[in-house]
Amino acid sequence: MRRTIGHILTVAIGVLMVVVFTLAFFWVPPAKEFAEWYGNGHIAKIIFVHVPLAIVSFIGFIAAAIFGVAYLMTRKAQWDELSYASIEVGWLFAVLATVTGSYFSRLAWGEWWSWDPRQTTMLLVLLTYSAYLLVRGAIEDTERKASVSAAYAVLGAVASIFFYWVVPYLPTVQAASAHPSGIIARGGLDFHYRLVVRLSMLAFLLLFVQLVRTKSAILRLERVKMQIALRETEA
Amino acid sequence: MADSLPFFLTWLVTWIALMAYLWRLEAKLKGIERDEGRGSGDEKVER
Repeated sequence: MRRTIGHILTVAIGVLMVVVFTLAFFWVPPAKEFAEWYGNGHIAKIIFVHVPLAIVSFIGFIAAAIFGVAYLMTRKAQWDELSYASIEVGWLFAVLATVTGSYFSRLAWGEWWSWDPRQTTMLLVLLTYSAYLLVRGAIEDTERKASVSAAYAVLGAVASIFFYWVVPYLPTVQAASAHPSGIIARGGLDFHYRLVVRLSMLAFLLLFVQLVRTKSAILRLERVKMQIALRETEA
Repeated sequence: MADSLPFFLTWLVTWIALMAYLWRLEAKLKGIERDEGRGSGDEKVER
């Protein structure tokens, strides 16, 4: 059953990937506002990669907190495994969102890193979850590791909400930011962009689910293997 | 076409990175399953 779902997900991801790429490359026109501001309207298409990566990473961090709460309530190891897998995959998505954002910064503003409030808050998210991975790796006792990780996942989600959705929308921060999210929020991009970004979001979300499923299956098997080894040692 | 190069590069690098990570995880999972000499992970947990 696990494999069948895995195959269906892989096919869906592959199809969506090809469809989004084809539409973005051949069908979506260059964005007028981006052409006026940055001299190349085609760089707006980076949105099809950058925005889904950032949003799916946020979804991953929130999911990790929910799984963390489920662990704290039930003390069942599979919730801890799902929480950890969501954070690891979410962290990778956040890294890629930062890299693609940095590339956009280079194309639009001439600098790889300009300390724009959006870049800075994303860096803070990355640091928050890098610390999670370090803390988790440093604890040896399995139950303590799971409890601390779950509590951290919940606090991390609160920080994420703050960094993704509160700080960038403060009036003073918005005034200081050159990030083009305002154009998107105002509906400045036409329906070509709105359609393709949604399809791309679905592709990245399905890939996220596939990665978390695979990672948590590995963690589950390793746990079972360790339990069997412990039982054999005791016997 | 040359104007679309930034999007093409971004798309390509991102998907290569994510697919490489997925293949690495899949290989690790298959390796563990092979070591155990059993079926899927779900079956093992049920045991």
